[in-house]
Amino acid sequence: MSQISKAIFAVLNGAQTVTGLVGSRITPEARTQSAVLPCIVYAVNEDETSQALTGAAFRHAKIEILCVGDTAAAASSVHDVARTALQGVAGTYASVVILHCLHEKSLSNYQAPMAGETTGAFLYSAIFSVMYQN
Amino acid sequence: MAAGTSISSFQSRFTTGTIAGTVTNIGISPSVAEIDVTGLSDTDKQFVTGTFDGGTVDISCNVDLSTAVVQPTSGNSTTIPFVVQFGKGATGVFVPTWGFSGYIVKTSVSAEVDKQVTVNYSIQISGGITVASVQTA
Repeated sequence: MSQISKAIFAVLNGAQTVTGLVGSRITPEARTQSAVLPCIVYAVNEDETSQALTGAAFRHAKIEILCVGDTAAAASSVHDVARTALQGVAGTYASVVILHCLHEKSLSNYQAPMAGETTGAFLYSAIFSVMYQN
Repeated sequence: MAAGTSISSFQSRFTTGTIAGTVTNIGISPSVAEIDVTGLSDTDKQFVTGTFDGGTVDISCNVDLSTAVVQPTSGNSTTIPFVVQFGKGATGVFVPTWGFSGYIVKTSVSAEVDKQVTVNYSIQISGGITVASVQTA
Protein backbone atom coordinates (compact mmCIF):
# COMPACT_ATOMS: atom_id res chain seq x y z
CA MET A 1 0.00 0.00 0.00
CA SER A 2 1.33 3.45 -0.87
CA GLN A 3 2.22 5.97 1.81
CA ILE A 4 -0.61 8.30 0.85
CA SER A 5 -3.07 5.38 1.05
CA LYS A 6 -1.89 4.70 4.60
CA ALA A 7 -2.33 8.35 5.48
CA ILE A 8 -5.86 8.51 4.08
CA PHE A 9 -6.75 5.35 5.96
CA ALA A 10 -5.35 6.90 9.15
CA VAL A 11 -7.55 9.97 8.73
CA LEU A 12 -10.72 7.97 8.05
CA ASN A 13 -10.03 5.34 10.67
CA GLY A 14 -9.35 8.06 13.22
CA ALA A 15 -12.67 9.80 12.66
CA GLN A 16 -15.30 8.48 15.06
CA THR A 17 -18.08 9.83 12.86
CA VAL A 18 -16.80 7.56 10.08
CA THR A 19 -16.07 4.45 12.14
CA GLY A 20 -19.40 4.93 13.89
CA LEU A 21 -21.07 4.12 10.56
CA VAL A 22 -18.66 1.68 8.88
CA GLY A 23 -16.75 0.23 11.82
CA SER A 24 -13.45 -1.21 10.57
CA ARG A 25 -14.77 -1.75 7.04
CA ILE A 26 -12.38 0.71 5.39
CA THR A 27 -10.36 -1.11 2.75
CA PRO A 28 -8.07 -0.22 -0.17
CA GLU A 29 -9.00 -0.84 -3.79
CA ALA A 30 -11.85 -3.36 -3.39
CA ARG A 31 -14.51 -4.65 -1.03
CA THR A 32 -15.24 -8.24 -0.25
CA GLN A 33 -18.22 -9.64 -2.10
CA SER A 34 -21.31 -9.90 0.11
CA ALA A 35 -19.48 -8.03 2.90
CA VAL A 36 -21.51 -6.21 5.51
CA LEU A 37 -22.52 -2.73 4.44
CA PRO A 38 -21.96 0.16 4.68
CA CYS A 39 -18.25 0.30 3.98
CA ILE A 40 -15.60 2.55 2.45
CA VAL A 41 -13.20 1.64 -0.33
CA TYR A 42 -10.41 4.06 -1.13
CA ALA A 43 -8.05 4.22 -4.08
CA VAL A 44 -5.31 6.43 -5.51
CA ASN A 45 -6.37 7.65 -8.95
CA GLU A 46 -3.26 9.75 -9.61
CA ASP A 47 -0.04 10.41 -7.76
CA GLU A 48 2.28 12.99 -9.29
CA THR A 49 5.52 14.55 -8.11
CA SER A 50 6.03 18.30 -8.48
CA GLN A 51 9.76 18.72 -8.89
CA ALA A 52 11.97 21.60 -7.88
CA LEU A 53 15.46 22.30 -9.23
CA THR A 54 16.81 21.50 -5.79
CA GLY A 55 15.28 20.95 -2.39
CA ALA A 56 12.16 19.15 -1.34
CA ALA A 57 9.67 18.15 -3.96
CA PHE A 58 6.07 17.51 -3.03
CA ARG A 59 3.41 15.26 -4.40
CA HIS A 60 -0.13 15.73 -5.59
CA ALA A 61 -2.57 12.84 -5.49
CA LYS A 62 -6.19 12.32 -6.47
CA ILE A 63 -7.85 10.05 -3.96
CA GLU A 64 -11.21 8.40 -4.52
CA ILE A 65 -13.35 7.53 -1.53
CA LEU A 66 -16.08 5.10 -2.48
CA CYS A 67 -18.87 4.84 0.07
CA VAL A 68 -21.00 1.74 -0.33
CA GLY A 69 -24.39 1.16 1.29
CA ASP A 70 -27.38 -1.12 0.95
CA THR A 71 -29.53 1.98 0.56
CA ALA A 72 -28.88 5.29 -1.14
CA ALA A 73 -29.37 7.05 2.19
CA ALA A 74 -26.77 4.88 3.90
CA ALA A 75 -24.20 5.50 1.17
CA SER A 76 -24.93 9.21 1.29
CA SER A 77 -24.56 9.34 5.08
CA VAL A 78 -21.16 7.66 4.93
CA HIS A 79 -20.12 9.98 2.13
CA ASP A 80 -21.05 13.03 4.16
CA VAL A 81 -19.06 12.05 7.25
CA ALA A 82 -16.09 10.91 5.17
CA ARG A 83 -16.12 14.17 3.26
CA THR A 84 -16.21 16.17 6.48
CA ALA A 85 -13.41 14.08 7.97
CA LEU A 86 -11.09 14.60 5.00
CA GLN A 87 -11.95 18.14 3.90
CA GLY A 88 -9.23 20.59 4.90
CA VAL A 89 -7.06 18.01 6.64
CA ALA A 90 -3.46 19.09 7.19
CA GLY A 91 -0.89 17.46 9.42
CA THR A 92 1.10 14.26 9.80
CA TYR A 93 -0.71 10.96 9.35
CA ALA A 94 1.08 7.58 9.13
CA SER A 95 4.39 9.49 8.78
CA VAL A 96 3.06 11.40 5.75
CA VAL A 97 2.87 15.18 5.90
CA ILE A 98 -0.43 16.15 4.34
CA LEU A 99 -0.24 19.79 3.24
CA HIS A 100 -3.87 19.95 2.22
CA CYS A 101 -6.78 17.71 1.36
CA LEU A 102 -9.54 19.31 -0.68
CA HIS A 103 -12.80 17.85 -1.91
CA GLU A 104 -13.17 18.20 -5.67
CA LYS A 105 -16.39 16.44 -6.61
CA SER A 106 -18.76 13.63 -5.74
CA LEU A 107 -21.06 11.39 -7.70
CA SER A 108 -23.51 8.63 -6.93
CA ASN A 109 -24.14 5.38 -8.72
CA TYR A 110 -25.76 1.97 -8.34
CA GLN A 111 -23.99 -1.35 -8.65
CA ALA A 112 -26.19 -4.18 -9.85
CA PRO A 113 -26.00 -7.47 -7.95
CA MET A 114 -22.82 -9.37 -8.71
CA ALA A 115 -22.75 -13.11 -9.29
CA GLY A 116 -24.17 -14.88 -6.25
CA GLU A 117 -25.73 -11.74 -4.78
CA THR A 118 -29.42 -10.99 -4.58
CA THR A 119 -29.14 -7.27 -3.97
CA GLY A 120 -27.02 -4.56 -5.46
CA ALA A 121 -25.22 -1.73 -3.72
CA PHE A 122 -25.57 2.02 -3.71
CA LEU A 123 -22.34 3.90 -4.32
CA TYR A 124 -21.41 7.46 -3.43
CA SER A 125 -17.87 8.41 -4.35
CA ALA A 126 -15.86 11.52 -3.61
CA ILE A 127 -12.64 12.70 -5.22
CA PHE A 128 -10.09 14.59 -3.13
CA SER A 129 -7.02 16.51 -4.20
CA VAL A 130 -4.22 15.87 -1.73
CA MET A 131 -0.88 17.69 -1.60
CA TYR A 132 1.68 15.92 0.57
CA GLN A 133 5.31 15.20 1.33
CA ASN A 134 6.96 12.07 2.68
CA MET B 1 22.25 18.54 -31.40
CA ALA B 2 23.22 15.16 -30.03
CA ALA B 3 21.36 14.17 -26.89
CA GLY B 4 24.62 13.53 -25.07
CA THR B 5 25.59 17.20 -25.23
CA SER B 6 22.46 18.51 -23.53
CA ILE B 7 22.39 19.54 -19.89
CA SER B 8 19.56 18.60 -17.58
CA SER B 9 18.30 21.43 -15.40
CA PHE B 10 18.24 18.98 -12.48
CA GLN B 11 20.02 20.48 -9.46
CA SER B 12 20.66 23.82 -11.10
CA ARG B 13 21.20 26.09 -8.15
CA PHE B 14 22.73 29.17 -6.60
CA THR B 15 26.17 28.13 -5.40
CA THR B 16 26.78 31.67 -4.16
CA GLY B 17 24.02 33.82 -2.73
CA THR B 18 20.93 32.65 -0.88
CA ILE B 19 17.44 32.52 -2.31
CA ALA B 20 14.64 32.12 0.24
CA GLY B 21 12.54 29.21 -0.96
CA THR B 22 12.81 26.06 -3.06
CA VAL B 23 13.82 27.19 -6.52
CA THR B 24 11.80 25.88 -9.46
CA ASN B 25 12.90 28.20 -12.25
CA ILE B 26 15.84 30.51 -13.00
CA GLY B 27 15.93 32.85 -16.00
CA ILE B 28 18.74 35.22 -16.92
CA SER B 29 18.52 37.44 -19.99
CA PRO B 30 21.34 39.94 -20.51
CA SER B 31 21.21 42.27 -23.47
CA VAL B 32 23.11 45.07 -25.06
CA ALA B 33 21.95 48.32 -26.56
CA GLU B 34 21.84 48.31 -30.35
CA ILE B 35 22.78 51.55 -32.09
CA ASP B 36 21.66 52.14 -35.65
CA VAL B 37 24.54 53.68 -37.59
CA THR B 38 23.06 53.22 -41.03
CA GLY B 39 24.10 55.97 -43.41
CA LEU B 40 22.03 57.45 -46.21
CA SER B 41 24.28 55.76 -48.77
CA ASP B 42 24.02 52.32 -47.14
CA THR B 43 21.87 49.70 -48.79
CA ASP B 44 21.73 47.53 -45.66
CA LYS B 45 21.10 48.40 -42.04
CA GLN B 46 24.26 48.82 -40.00
CA PHE B 47 24.45 48.48 -36.22
CA VAL B 48 26.98 48.71 -33.46
CA THR B 49 26.42 47.68 -29.89
CA GLY B 50 26.31 49.99 -26.94
CA THR B 51 26.36 49.31 -23.22
CA PHE B 52 25.95 45.81 -21.84
CA ASP B 53 22.92 45.36 -19.61
CA GLY B 54 22.88 42.32 -17.35
CA GLY B 55 19.12 42.68 -17.11
CA THR B 56 17.09 40.99 -14.43
CA VAL B 57 17.28 37.46 -13.13
CA ASP B 58 13.80 36.01 -12.70
CA ILE B 59 13.53 33.27 -10.09
CA SER B 60 10.45 31.22 -9.19
CA CYS B 61 10.30 29.43 -5.85
CA ASN B 62 8.00 27.43 -3.65
CA VAL B 63 7.73 29.18 -0.31
CA ASP B 64 9.11 26.96 2.43
CA LEU B 65 7.77 26.66 5.95
CA SER B 66 9.76 28.76 8.43
CA THR B 67 11.63 30.57 5.65
CA ALA B 68 10.92 34.28 5.44
CA VAL B 69 10.28 35.68 1.98
CA VAL B 70 12.85 38.37 1.16
CA GLN B 71 11.57 41.81 0.21
CA PRO B 72 13.37 44.49 -1.78
CA THR B 73 15.12 47.13 0.29
CA SER B 74 15.34 50.81 -0.59
CA GLY B 75 18.49 52.91 -0.74
CA ASN B 76 20.71 49.90 -1.18
CA SER B 77 24.10 50.48 -2.80
CA THR B 78 25.86 47.27 -1.79
CA THR B 79 25.35 44.54 -4.35
CA ILE B 80 24.93 40.90 -3.42
CA PRO B 81 27.15 38.38 -5.27
CA PHE B 82 25.42 35.40 -6.88
CA VAL B 83 26.64 32.42 -8.87
CA VAL B 84 24.20 30.15 -10.69
CA GLN B 85 25.28 26.68 -11.67
CA PHE B 86 23.25 25.21 -14.53
CA GLY B 87 22.95 21.46 -14.09
CA LYS B 88 24.35 19.06 -11.56
CA GLY B 89 27.86 18.56 -12.92
CA ALA B 90 30.01 15.54 -12.17
CA THR B 91 33.56 14.37 -12.56
CA GLY B 92 34.39 14.95 -16.20
CA VAL B 93 31.01 16.60 -16.85
CA PHE B 94 31.41 20.35 -17.07
CA VAL B 95 28.38 22.57 -16.60
CA PRO B 96 28.24 26.35 -16.98
CA THR B 97 28.15 28.86 -14.17
CA TRP B 98 27.09 32.47 -14.44
CA GLY B 99 28.30 34.88 -11.78
CA PHE B 100 26.96 38.36 -11.23
CA SER B 101 26.11 40.89 -8.55
CA GLY B 102 22.84 42.65 -8.02
CA TYR B 103 19.88 43.56 -5.86
CA ILE B 104 16.48 42.00 -5.31
CA VAL B 105 14.21 44.63 -6.85
CA LYS B 106 10.89 42.81 -6.98
CA THR B 107 9.14 40.15 -4.91
CA SER B 108 5.71 38.74 -5.69
CA VAL B 109 4.01 36.12 -3.54
CA SER B 110 1.07 34.13 -4.83
CA ALA B 111 -1.41 31.75 -3.22
CA GLU B 112 -3.86 29.84 -5.40
CA VAL B 113 -6.47 27.24 -4.49
CA ASP B 114 -5.11 23.67 -4.51
CA LYS B 115 -1.57 24.90 -5.26
CA GLN B 116 1.57 25.53 -3.27
CA VAL B 117 2.37 29.09 -2.20
CA THR B 118 4.94 30.54 -4.59
CA VAL B 119 7.20 33.56 -4.72
CA ASN B 120 8.89 35.19 -7.71
CA TYR B 121 12.00 37.29 -7.26
CA SER B 122 13.63 39.67 -9.71
CA ILE B 123 17.30 40.45 -9.22
CA GLN B 124 18.60 43.50 -11.06
CA ILE B 125 22.14 42.74 -12.21
CA SER B 126 24.60 45.56 -11.67
CA GLY B 127 27.73 45.15 -13.77
CA GLY B 128 28.78 42.27 -15.95
CA ILE B 129 28.28 38.52 -15.92
CA THR B 130 31.17 36.11 -15.48
CA VAL B 131 30.68 32.86 -17.36
CA ALA B 132 32.72 29.84 -16.32
CA SER B 133 32.29 26.10 -16.01
CA VAL B 134 32.63 23.61 -13.19
CA GLN B 135 32.38 19.88 -12.81
CA THR B 136 31.26 19.74 -9.18
CA ALA B 137 28.63 17.15 -8.48
